[in-house]
Amino acid sequence: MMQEILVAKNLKKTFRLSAKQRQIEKTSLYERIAVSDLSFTANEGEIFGLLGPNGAGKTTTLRMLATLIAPDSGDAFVDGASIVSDPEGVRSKVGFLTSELRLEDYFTPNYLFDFFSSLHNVEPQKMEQRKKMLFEKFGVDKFAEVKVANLSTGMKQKLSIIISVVHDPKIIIFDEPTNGLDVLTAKVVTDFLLELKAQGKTIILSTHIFSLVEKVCDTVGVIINGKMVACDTVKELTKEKNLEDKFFDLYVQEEGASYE
Amino acid sequence: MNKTFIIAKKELYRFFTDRRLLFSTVLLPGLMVYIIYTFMGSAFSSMFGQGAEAPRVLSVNTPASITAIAAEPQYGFGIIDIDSEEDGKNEIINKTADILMVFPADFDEAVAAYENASGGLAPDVAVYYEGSDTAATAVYSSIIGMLEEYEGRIANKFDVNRDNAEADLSGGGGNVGAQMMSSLLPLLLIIFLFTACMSVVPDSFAGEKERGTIATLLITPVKRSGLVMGKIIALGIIALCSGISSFVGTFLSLPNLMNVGGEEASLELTAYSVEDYLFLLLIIISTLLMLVSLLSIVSAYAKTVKEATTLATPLMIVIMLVGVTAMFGGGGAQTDFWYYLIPAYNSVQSMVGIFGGEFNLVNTIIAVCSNVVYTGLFLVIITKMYNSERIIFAR
Repeated sequence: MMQEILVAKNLKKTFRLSAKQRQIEKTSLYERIAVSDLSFTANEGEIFGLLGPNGAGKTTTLRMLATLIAPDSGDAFVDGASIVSDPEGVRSKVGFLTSELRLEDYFTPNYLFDFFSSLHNVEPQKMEQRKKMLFEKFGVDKFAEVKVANLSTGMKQKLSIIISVVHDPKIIIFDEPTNGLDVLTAKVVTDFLLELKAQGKTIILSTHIFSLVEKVCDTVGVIINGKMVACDTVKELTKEKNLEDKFFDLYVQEEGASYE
Repeated sequence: MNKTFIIAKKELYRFFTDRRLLFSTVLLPGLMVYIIYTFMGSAFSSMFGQGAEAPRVLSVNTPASITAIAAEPQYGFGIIDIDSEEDGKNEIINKTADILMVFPADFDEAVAAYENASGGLAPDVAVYYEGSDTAATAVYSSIIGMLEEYEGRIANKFDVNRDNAEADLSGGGGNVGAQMMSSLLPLLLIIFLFTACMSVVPDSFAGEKERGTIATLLITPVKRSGLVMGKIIALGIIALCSGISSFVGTFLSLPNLMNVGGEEASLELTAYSVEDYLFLLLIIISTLLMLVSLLSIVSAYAKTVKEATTLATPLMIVIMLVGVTAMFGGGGAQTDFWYYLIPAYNSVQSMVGIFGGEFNLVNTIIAVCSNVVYTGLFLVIITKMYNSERIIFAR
């Protein structure tokens, strides 16, 4: 029996609408619901995918899990730590990667690795060991003393991945991990995901790419308009038809006939 | 290792390894201040100083009494007697002479005969000069001063300080310098401190927000308060370096600046005791911390560095106005303790006290403590702001 490591319970998040936006949408509501009553459970050692179209609330959900933003109501427990009452505890167990997390241009990969390791209380010996291993794996070792500003886009992305796992977290949250990467770099990333899984790590990722879900995920939650419309193992969901067709069925069911 | 310290170390590393930033923030302010003040000083002294030629003072119908008073050492004008008023005016217009005085033909007699109570018109002296010529304008003022003094002498009803006794009882040397410093330096210092903070704070708070690097820090297990504190400590140190640079520039250039009219405005730095300097340093540090945390609030609220700088401008104006109050207010520091609870004003008043030689231990300590309290209060506010996603992720 698999151990539950991440439990999200009734997560809700709304954003305020500006006056102009209300006019455009012809609505009298002051808030837009980004995530509504979202619950799911991820088991230890699996890759859990959040699948959904743009604007469905995937990133908002992940940002709540990573304690970057707080839910309006509901809670989630990451390896026992509550995102509401113990955000620092959650942060020490979680590695979070999203394109909105930038690294300061002025510093070198070497410095940044040390800096973030010390913020995560990593022992110096373990830090050196992990730095060598990760830098070699992603080919950052040759650019260890080049300022981030002068790194290529792909190299920056790889460095961001490395920085997100400096503390060897049990749970890794990836927001659109392969977005904007070329096929080679994307492969390095998906291989890394599988490798982390092999090490017994739990991975939560968001994507709108069906093939990525089918390739790496064990369980998938489909989010449409902030609601979890289906959550099951990939095997179970794709029993009758492939994931793409299944997704369209769910979408029609949720949103009505058209998906334009 | 304490995480606040790690954050502070990173900010300091960022700053002190960047030669360009170091130059523009620490070296440049001091250098600029030194160059500008030295230049201003030499411009002043060449305008009024001994280097300039002796003024050419023309006079028509020169009375003996005026020739005598003009020759007195404090004036030292050699008056050239001419016959034609027209020629004199032409000389003034052509700038070959500075001043033309035209006296009535029998000035001395007319003055002696004139009765104040008669109600008739007194003898009139006309003085001409070329207003666009700064040197001539200065001479004009002294000539008017001289004439007025002469008028006072002949109509002497009472004297003030006749024996030129030490009327200023505050005692001690370096008083001219102390007075100038007590009114000018607090203004300069508070402006330097503020601009020093302005050059580093917006980038660290609004800049990190603008570049999106702050979120990377926010997902590490660092308390928001620790993060804010680390930044403020580092920024305080950096701003202090910048402030000290401006301060040193000012001190080195003040003798040049105040060396007006050839007479050294006795700027005796030794007039201040170690205690004065120590409390000045305490005031500077506590003021810096207060200003850094105040500006941090503004910068944390702003979406971009540019917005932060714009928002800080009204603050800058307030700070300058507060600095200007040091130049008025009767030449001394406020004595009531509650003045020392007002941020910025307390620092300025403490500095007025220290520079003016009226150092008040209790008030200075109140000022330092209240600055520390304000810093703590501002820290709480910024931490609250850092906990607000609407502020921290505002785009």
